[in-house]
Amino acid sequence: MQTTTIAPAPNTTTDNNTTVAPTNATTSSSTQAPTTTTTLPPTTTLPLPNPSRVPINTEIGACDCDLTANSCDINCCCDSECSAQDKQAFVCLPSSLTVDDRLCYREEVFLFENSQYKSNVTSQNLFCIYFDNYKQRNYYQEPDLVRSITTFQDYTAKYAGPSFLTARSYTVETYTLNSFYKFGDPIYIIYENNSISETLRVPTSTVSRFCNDQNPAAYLKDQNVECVRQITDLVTDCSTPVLSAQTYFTGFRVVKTPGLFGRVVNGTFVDVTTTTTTTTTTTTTTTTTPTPTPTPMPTPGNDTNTTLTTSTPTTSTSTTSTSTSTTASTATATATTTARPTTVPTTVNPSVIYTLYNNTYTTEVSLDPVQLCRQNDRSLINCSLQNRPSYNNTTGTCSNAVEEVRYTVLTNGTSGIQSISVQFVLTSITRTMVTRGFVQKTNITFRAANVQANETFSRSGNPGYVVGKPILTYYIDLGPDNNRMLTIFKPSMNGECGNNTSQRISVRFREDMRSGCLLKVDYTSMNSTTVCSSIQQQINDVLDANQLRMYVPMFGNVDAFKVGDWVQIVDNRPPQQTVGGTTCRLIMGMNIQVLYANVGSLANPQAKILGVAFIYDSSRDVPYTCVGAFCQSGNQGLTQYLEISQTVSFVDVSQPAIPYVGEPPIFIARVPIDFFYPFYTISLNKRQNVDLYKKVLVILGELF
Amino acid sequence: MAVYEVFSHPELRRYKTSICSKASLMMLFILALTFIPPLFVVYRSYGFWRKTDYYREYPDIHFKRELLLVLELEGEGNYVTYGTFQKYNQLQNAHLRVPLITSRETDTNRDGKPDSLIFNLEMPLLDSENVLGVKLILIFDYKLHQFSSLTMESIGYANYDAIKPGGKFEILGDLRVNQKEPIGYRGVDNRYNTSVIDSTSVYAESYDFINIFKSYTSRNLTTYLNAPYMVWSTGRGASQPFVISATINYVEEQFLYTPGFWYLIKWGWVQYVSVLLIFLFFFDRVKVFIYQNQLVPTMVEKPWREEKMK
Repeated sequence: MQTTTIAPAPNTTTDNNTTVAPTNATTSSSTQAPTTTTTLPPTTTLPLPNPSRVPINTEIGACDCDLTANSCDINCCCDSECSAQDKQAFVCLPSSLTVDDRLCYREEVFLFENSQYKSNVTSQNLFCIYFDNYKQRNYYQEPDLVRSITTFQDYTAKYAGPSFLTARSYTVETYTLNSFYKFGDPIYIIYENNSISETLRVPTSTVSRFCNDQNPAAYLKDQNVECVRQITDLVTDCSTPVLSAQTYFTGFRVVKTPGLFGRVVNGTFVDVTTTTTTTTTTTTTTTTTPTPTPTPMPTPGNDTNTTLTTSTPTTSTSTTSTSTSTTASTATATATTTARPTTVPTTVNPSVIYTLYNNTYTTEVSLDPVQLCRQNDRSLINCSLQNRPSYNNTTGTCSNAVEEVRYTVLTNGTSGIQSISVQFVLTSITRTMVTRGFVQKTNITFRAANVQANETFSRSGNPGYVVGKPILTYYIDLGPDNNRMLTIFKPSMNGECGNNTSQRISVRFREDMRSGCLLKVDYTSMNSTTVCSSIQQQINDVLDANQLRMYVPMFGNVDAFKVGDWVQIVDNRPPQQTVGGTTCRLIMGMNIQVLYANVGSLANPQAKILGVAFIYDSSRDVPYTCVGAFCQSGNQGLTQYLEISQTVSFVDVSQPAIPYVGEPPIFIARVPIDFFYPFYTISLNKRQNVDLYKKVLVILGELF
Repeated sequence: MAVYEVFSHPELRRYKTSICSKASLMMLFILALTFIPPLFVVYRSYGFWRKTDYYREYPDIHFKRELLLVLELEGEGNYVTYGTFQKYNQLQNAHLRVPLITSRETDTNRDGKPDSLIFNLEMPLLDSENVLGVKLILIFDYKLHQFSSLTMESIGYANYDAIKPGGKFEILGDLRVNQKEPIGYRGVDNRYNTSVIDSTSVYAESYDFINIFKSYTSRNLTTYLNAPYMVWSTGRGASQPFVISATINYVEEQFLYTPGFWYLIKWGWVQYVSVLLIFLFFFDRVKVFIYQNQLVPTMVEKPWREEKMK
């Protein structure tokens, strides 16, 4: 490869441009007429001068290290402001730039050399390009400047990828008089003081287990959530509103149906007295709003499709635009009235609404007649709602704090919410809870208004058991009870076996479980001879292995009074055995084994419980073991922990579908009787062979 | 009248010679050149014998309902632990705390092999105790059927250390396999069907995490819990347990195996013949050239008689 750096760059090269550097506007007018299609709006009177254009097929960035105007840039040898002495002090890398390295004679542009020379490099490549008649493939096309928003949007629509641009369109929720709640919608509430529309919130935990109060309740979606309230100082935090029951039901009303907002235009309640003159004029506060008087307003008994409306009540816009949009929307509404037949019944009758807060389409949260109070032993008793939580100096507790909020919402189709009631579980927060935070639960249940609460009960499947659903039990001695489940015990906080039998956890279908706890015994209690049976009794109490005859339903939807559909639990408790000394022979655990099988179609199997058995662990000798130093006499106070366990296992004993293979169809094909005529005639003389022939032929005939 | 070819068929020309002649020697030489070089070509381009190969299989995995759990508590040396091993629990007398464990294996595609494990563990704790770390070993039963009937006991290990006391630890991940050497193509492989944790041992060292991992990682086939998505939630309320919740998917894996004899022969044959065809074609032309031009003297037996042609 030879580099022949000679001669100034000839101006007679293939590119048509006479100038090398980007120049001012004069060049563009010379050869290439700009192809700009400037769709200028007619308001701009002066035509803009054409922008300077880049000469085509030319390298223009010959000195891109010259970044300071009217001054010499350090180490930039092509900077014209630098003197020769400056350049001698610089360290300039002699790098160059090749526009296209496939050419046989290619031009090297020296980046860091301020010279008018170019270098021609001769390439000896076999497939080098000798004559390039398509130079523009190495240069970008130059797009026009964008001066109108439509061109701008054309470019962004075509080329723009994901960006941090905020969403350009904001959909304003609109309500009509026909609007009603659907599953998953937020439930609106309206506060008394200034008619603020808000949503009913269900505090839940998000990132941490601490409460996040922003979570809205969803319509028709039962929720049972819990979160932790952080309490730093019990005295001051006792009066926070989140612990007060009044926060959860007073001061606001629940919007029964969002059709109510159909009467609210742009945050202001629209008066209906303009058309229905018979009604009272008490709502004088709304007279300032520009009501669309020329448009026909709906009369109370009129058709339903009058959709006057538009946006959320919280949007605040200028009054002029309000009036225009309102009239526009009403105009379209009247147009649709004639076009569309009424299919959806009106959910809101506008004539009975006088204020947004207090009308028939909002309801207050009623207090359940029964409130619950948690006692010191964690049990619940009925009590009445008292005043707000207060700190008691003598006991050091914050009493009347809300531990659980239970909303029950009665719904009625498109009419929305019929009523909503709340029940509280109140408790006293002790100082020990402060270190950990206070667990608060919220429960919201939706029920159809026409069904009584005591008539409903939840099924565990219909008919086959659903994974994760509880298994009902039935004590033949106690009678049916829909709330009695198959349960196993749960250890107390320190891992020991609590004697609280209410703290049990229900067995869920197909979920294997293992629970255990530590039973505390010490040497003195083990030393007695009669104590083994009492320890065994303690274990049995923990396991809840009472001798009652228990039944479980074979399907999740079994009728409680259909005795044949219930399976008795097989219980083979081994008898109590005794060993002498400081050793007890004890049954330390129990396994609840559930056999189930899939029945029904293979495509939609339904799980059916075939049988349940309580399998007890075999008796083990549990001696009092001393360890190391504790074996010395006088040190026998070492407490021993016996692990009691209760497990649940589910066994799938589904029988395979019996394959039935149909018999292959018999293929019957016979030939005409004289088809093999010549053979018959030949054998006429040999009568003894005719039968044989016939048999062979008939077999052949059947084959074909 | 135009002449056209109405029919054609090739003639067979025979060249005859004695055993010890130049022509025989030439023939032998050409035959050797035809059949032996393709072998070298195929072999030198690598991959002639496919000594190892990959296949995919959906393993049959079951959670054995065995685990070893250590919850690191705040304060030097404080921890609570639980294992489904009686001897381990006896060793950890003072630190033992028995949790409530719930597990379920789903089989959504109903192929008889579980697809995922849904595991939940609630460890009761005192209000004064703060959990700062979790070490959890779950033990699985791992089976392969397609080539080698492999059965092994394997583990999934989740470890997390936090600086803030937690209330809940959630794990989402896959149980993946880590293979160091190929498995066989047939037979029963019970090399690793041994207990990862020796539950019969009464010695504390058998339950030491590093000892368990040391013996486990010396295997050539192990599983690991690939769970980049672990969430540690702070804020445990009063009298609430510490909750570990895991969803572990069992995934189809690619296994390296040593193929059997006929598999090797089949692919060797396919490669050899494809190169041989080119050589056959080329040396056939060479032979025709040599014998047609009588470069080596032979007796040519023509398929037609001279007098008939006249």
